[in-house]
Amino acid sequence: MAISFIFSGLGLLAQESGAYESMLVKSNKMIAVVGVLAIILLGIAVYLFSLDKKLKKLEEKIDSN
Amino acid sequence: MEKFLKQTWWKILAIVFLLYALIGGLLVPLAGTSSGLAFPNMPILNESIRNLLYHVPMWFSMVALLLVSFIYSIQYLSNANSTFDNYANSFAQVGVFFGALGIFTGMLWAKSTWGAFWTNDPKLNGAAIGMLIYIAYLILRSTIEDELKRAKIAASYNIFAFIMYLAFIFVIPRLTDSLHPGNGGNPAFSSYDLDNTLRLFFYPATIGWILLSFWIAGVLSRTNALNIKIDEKGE
Repeated sequence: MAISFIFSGLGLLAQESGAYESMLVKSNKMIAVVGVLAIILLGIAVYLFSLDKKLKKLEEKIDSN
Repeated sequence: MEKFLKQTWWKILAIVFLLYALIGGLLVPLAGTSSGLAFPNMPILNESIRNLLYHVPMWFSMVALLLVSFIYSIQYLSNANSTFDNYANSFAQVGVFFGALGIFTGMLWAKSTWGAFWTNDPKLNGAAIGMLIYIAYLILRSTIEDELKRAKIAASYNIFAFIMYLAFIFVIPRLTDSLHPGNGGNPAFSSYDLDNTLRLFFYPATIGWILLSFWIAGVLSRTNALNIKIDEKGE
């Protein structure tokens, strides 16, 4: 129920996004959205690299025992 | 595979491709709004055509992950090495995760273009059945305690599952009418469905997402491998 509610809200947003998005582009603020998404993506990458590092340490630890 | 999963170069490549597809996919204007590089402005799709760069790579990544899982299942049957079983299991798990992302992103896109979260489109139903087949694979694994037995049964089931999934999402939708482009008799990615500007971003996006999904599967399979090693040392 809650999920379908969220989805219907997002669906409405998506329907209006044509006019909304071209307004964003005109006002030159789309770049802020791209920046936010880029930060999220880079954050996920940094986190995955840190997981890789932790795994490497564990693998070395278990092999030396 | 073990060596490949520990390398760094392709992980950096994944991030570069994804950033490129993200920035281009959101900033390139639609045709008619300005001159120069532009995505086609199609009826019904309009701005949502950009979703092609984010929704479709989920499915490509899923198929790539399940293909790796399938190959390792075949390998396991010819050589009962627990490493192969681990790869088959880990890649299938991440594959199901990406399939779920594909379904949810597709539902949202469908709502704003086709008018409903779910339609009786053969591709949608095929994908849903395929997901159930793979969820059954994961449940099947969890119900068998004996490791050798589990690995053997899971490998045989996985081979069947992959072939069935391919039939459900790539063969059956082409035999009937479908709302998805490229189905209902037409091969996908014809010049009609995908123009050159989209291609410029779609291919890097697909490669980027596939690499990122392999990265995640690598983290999972290495964790599982450590677990197996610890269990072996304990015995």
